[in-house]
Amino acid sequence: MSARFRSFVLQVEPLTLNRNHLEWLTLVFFLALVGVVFQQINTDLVSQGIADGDPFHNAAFYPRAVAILILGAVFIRAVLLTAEIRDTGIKVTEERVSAMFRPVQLVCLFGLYLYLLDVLGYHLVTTPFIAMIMIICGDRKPLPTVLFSLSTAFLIAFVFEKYLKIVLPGGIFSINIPW
Amino acid sequence: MLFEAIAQGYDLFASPFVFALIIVGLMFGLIVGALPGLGPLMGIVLILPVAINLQPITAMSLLLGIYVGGSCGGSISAILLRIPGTPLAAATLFDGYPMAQKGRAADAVGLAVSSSALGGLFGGVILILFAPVLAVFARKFSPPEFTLLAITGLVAIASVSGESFLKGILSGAFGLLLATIGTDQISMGYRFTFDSYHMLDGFHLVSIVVGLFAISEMVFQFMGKDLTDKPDIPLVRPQFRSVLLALKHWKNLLRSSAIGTFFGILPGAGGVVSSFAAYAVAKNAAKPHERYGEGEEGGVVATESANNATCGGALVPSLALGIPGDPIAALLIATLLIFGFYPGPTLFEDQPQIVGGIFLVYLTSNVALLVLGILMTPLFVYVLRIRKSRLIPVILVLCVVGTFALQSSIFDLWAMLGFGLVGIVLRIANYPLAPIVIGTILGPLLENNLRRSLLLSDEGYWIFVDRPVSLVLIVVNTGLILWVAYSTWQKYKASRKSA
Amino acid sequence: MNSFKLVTAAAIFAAALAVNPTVQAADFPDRPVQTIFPWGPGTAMAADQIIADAVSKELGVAVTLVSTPGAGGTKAFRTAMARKADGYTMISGWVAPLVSAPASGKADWTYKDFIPLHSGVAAAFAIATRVGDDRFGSFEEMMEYGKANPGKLRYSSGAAGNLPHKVMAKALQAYGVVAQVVPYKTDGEARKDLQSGVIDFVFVNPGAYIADKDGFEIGLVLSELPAVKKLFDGAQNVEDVDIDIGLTGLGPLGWTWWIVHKDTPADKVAVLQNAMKKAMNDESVKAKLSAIGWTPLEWDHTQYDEIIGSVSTQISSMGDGLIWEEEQIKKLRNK
Repeated sequence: MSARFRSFVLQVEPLTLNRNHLEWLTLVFFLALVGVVFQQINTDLVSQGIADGDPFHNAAFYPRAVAILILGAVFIRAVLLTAEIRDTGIKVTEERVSAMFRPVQLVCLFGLYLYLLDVLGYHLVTTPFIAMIMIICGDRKPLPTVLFSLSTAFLIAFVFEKYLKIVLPGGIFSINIPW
Repeated sequence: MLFEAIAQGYDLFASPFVFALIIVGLMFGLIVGALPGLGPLMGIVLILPVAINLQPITAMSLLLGIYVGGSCGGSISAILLRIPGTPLAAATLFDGYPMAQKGRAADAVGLAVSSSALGGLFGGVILILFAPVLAVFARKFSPPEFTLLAITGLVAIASVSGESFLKGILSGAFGLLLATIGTDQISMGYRFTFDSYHMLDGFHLVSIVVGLFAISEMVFQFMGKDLTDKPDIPLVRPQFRSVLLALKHWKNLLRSSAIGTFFGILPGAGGVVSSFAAYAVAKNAAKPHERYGEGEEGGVVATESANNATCGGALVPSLALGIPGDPIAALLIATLLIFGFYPGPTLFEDQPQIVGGIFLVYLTSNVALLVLGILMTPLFVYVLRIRKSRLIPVILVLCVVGTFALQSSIFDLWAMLGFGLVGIVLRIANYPLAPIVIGTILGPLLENNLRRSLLLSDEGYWIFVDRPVSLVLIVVNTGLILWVAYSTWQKYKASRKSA
Repeated sequence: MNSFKLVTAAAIFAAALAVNPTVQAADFPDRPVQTIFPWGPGTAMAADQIIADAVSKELGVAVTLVSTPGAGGTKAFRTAMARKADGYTMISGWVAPLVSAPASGKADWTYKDFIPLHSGVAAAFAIATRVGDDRFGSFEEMMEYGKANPGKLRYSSGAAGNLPHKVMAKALQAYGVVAQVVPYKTDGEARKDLQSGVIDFVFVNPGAYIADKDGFEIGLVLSELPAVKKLFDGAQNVEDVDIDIGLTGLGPLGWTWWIVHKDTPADKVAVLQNAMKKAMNDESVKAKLSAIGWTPLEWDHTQYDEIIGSVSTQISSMGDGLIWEEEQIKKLRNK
């Protein structure tokens, strides 16, 4: 049992991704979209009374038609993709999953930034955000990093708040600079 | 009568202050256009409070400057960073970015600026010569014609979606679906809103475009190596020879400007559709040795001349009928209203000096764009010399602030991130992103006009055959579809043979 | 991790810069005040922009319009209500989301859930046909044709279910005419298609009418007020043809009343109310608004309950012309 488990781990560890995986993933994504369209039409739109009837009331006709178009295209694409893989074999370059670490890092950091933007406001989180990315990118000199991030964050805020009269997110403390 | 108007408007126009504000407007327009998020529309919204405290023609010079500059500015970031600063520049990516990659960044930007200015001038001349006539022509287009025109647009766009026709269709259909989110314009019911008030008007087009293009591009850049290196790109000098470069493509220039003006005159279509359509036509009319999509000058010429010619076109129904050609024109009409002028037939009769003044301001803006844009090109190209470790975070923050500025909504930012993820996956899987944008724009045009046509008709779908213009469009569409199907089949056969 | 310490220090420094510890009403407002505006660009935006500009001059800070269209104006209301009630968010409370949407069950608030600042502008509307439409001698003849041929006439109010649609449906019900409504995103597109000849009649407001007087034939002014009749050059109104649309005064008109979230502190509300009152009583502001076809309103916050109360009662009890229209059209389709 434990030996079998170990061999399983050994097989999984150099997990690789290639373009074909993503091709299939996108097709799944499009199928999910079609699913959502039909699910919504048969629940939400029916309850609003806009799922059938004359052109005035039938708000379902058009999205359904587009969904069917997608369904057809996905089907053809799947057939072609299978044929392509069979014909050519998997020659595409494979990427180790660990190579995905960096972009995932950036996306997570960006998500965190958006979340904190709402909570703490632009002025508190933007400087650290810029600095963090610079550090991950490999900028190792602390002073230039801090100076650059601080000045950029506030320069952008100055232009947008002072001259364009945009009210940047203030967060729960309502931090907005009356320039 | 129009020349009389121009003569009368000259007195209002001929002041250094008007000229100075055109320059200010252009610079501001170029910047808001180039920054991801903000575009000419938002630029004008932001400056409106200042503008309404000026004299009418002075205010219009500021706003038209933003309109003209903003319609061109998006191409700069598209060429240099692979980020269309505005949806208008989504098609400029196709050849602008490859040109820059081949070391011709300055040429590409110069070409974009020159083509924009020349296209804009073309639109302006049409505006002056034919505004009232064209306004009447625009009236021939009703829901049935718009329905068919939207289909023409979609077919044309499918034909340029690169190597994979099927992937282009999937992307385009994704855009069509995105556009159905929100309040249905006909029944006023809510579709796919999942009980969130944020979704009542769907996703903001700018969150979609910034997410798909800018966020995904920054993530790809982030995966690169040597992010802290200072790129070794030589400084360039302003080169007026890019005007000649653009003029070399004079056929393309004229054709694309005409397409741009045409779509401008029709209310509802707008600059994005016109730039894609002009690109599609240019690509299909290309000579065998021209390789569109790989840095062909003609691609930049087509899209940029078309979207700026659209500005001139959009002013036609706005001034002559009081019907806005696009949302920006609607805002310009609102501005004129604030000054107490009613765009429409009455304006031409009662205050021809205002019409004349606007014509002059518009023409001057385009000439000034040519000079200013070329002088500023080295400044823009300088962006390429910034190290990635600084460029990436700054662009991300600008995306956030620029998108937030549209309607002060944090939700728009989350949507932007979501579309960023979609963009990353689709790009790795080799799906073209541009059809999503065009689908989002053409979708409502198609659906709402189809349903309107059926409501107007007493005999169902026959309304499309009964009307002469719509019948012509049916023939055109059928021909296009057959031709696209045939050439796709040919390409597929060829690829099977070589494989 | 020296740099991280520095970043933290910098953030604290930034915070110290940003936080202004003495934010009180005395300093209110010290930054731009945003006004949530429920429509896209158009004539209504022009009116509100004039008001915003005037209020901005009174307050001494920028007053910006944040255009948040969607769901008949209710998206703007929901957006504004989700924001902090700190006096920095005003709402241009157009009748559709403020009164009409709650009346038809499309919103879960009433006008009482807001604190009024000042009334804004109003515009009446009229039913217009195209000049040169020689099928009918008069509007009355068109109505007779419509009565004899149910479902044959096409009309538009811009967006479906908006106030002009409700009022027009009510008038058509009074005439006994069943006509097919064709919705457009903006009323400008509807007017264009009137001129193209595919629509038989539309609604126009004074602004659109002034812009192209030669293009429209005013069939019926949808208000009993003499001042409104004058705006449409004396065309016949509902009283002349003895049509009861169940709405009088402000009832059948499009209008806005600027409001704020009900939790807004009283001292800040007072500042805004004062500024708006001064702005709306400024003769030059009134002149600008009148010039573009809007009627400036002079009611201040004390009259909110009385005025809106009566409009609200009218709108919710007018007997829905829309429902009648829908039933009739359904009958026709099923034949």
